[in-house]
Amino acid sequence: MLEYHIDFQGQNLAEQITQGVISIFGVIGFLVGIVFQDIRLSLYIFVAGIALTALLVVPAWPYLNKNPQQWLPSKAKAAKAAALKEQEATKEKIA
Amino acid sequence: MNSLQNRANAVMAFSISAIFCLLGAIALSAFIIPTSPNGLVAVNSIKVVTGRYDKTWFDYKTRDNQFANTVMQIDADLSSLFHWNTKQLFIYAVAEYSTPTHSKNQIVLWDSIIKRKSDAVIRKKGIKNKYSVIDVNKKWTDIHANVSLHWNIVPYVGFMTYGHSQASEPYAFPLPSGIQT
Repeated sequence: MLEYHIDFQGQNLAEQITQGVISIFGVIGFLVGIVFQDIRLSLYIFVAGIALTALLVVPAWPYLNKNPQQWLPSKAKAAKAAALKEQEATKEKIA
Repeated sequence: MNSLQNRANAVMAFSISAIFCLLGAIALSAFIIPTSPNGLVAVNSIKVVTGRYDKTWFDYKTRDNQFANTVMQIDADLSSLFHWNTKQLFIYAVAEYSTPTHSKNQIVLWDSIIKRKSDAVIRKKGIKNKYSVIDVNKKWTDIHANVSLHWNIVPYVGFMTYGHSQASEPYAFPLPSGIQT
């Protein structure tokens, strides 16, 4: 139910965004903290980075679903369709 | 990263790795931030009195253990030790001396906790010793002790570091004059 799948390219992109955004905010947080000599500022910036990343990648935004995978039809369905076709063909023959 | 739960888990897992890197960098940054602490302790007066040990000690019966009562002054500026990774400072004045039987003796005369940078400039006079100043041999004759200010930097994250000021010139202990009340 509440799975909100995304496609393969979307998964790759989400992974890169997660690592990139959190790392960048960590570096910014460290630099801002050491310049302003305030450890709390560092951690607030870091937590803001986590929140932003979560907002960007956790919901299944449309930009993560741009390349949906085209799956083959299932074997059971294919067999049923083939059987139906055959039946119709035999009916036509009889007629 | 397929499902919602997967993505939330991946974000949290990576943020934990990243925060440990951040905290490690903060801990290491304490070593490269330059500091210039200075401190001076001077003993204004030493008086030696005799008395009993505390009643939990085995030789409570004897009254001739020698205690020193000191009055000192401290001039120190430790404000440069307060950087972004300093939670508080523990400062303590230490008397150090050697006797024929024990080569290195250290006694903490006084200590204090400093929590704010504005309190780190210390100009105090008339500081009496907070703790009993008694030698292992319970006698102060022919002993010369110097005093210095030590500090222990307590960080928010990382390593506890220690430092101390230059030692003062040695002070001689006078003969006992009086009985401890």
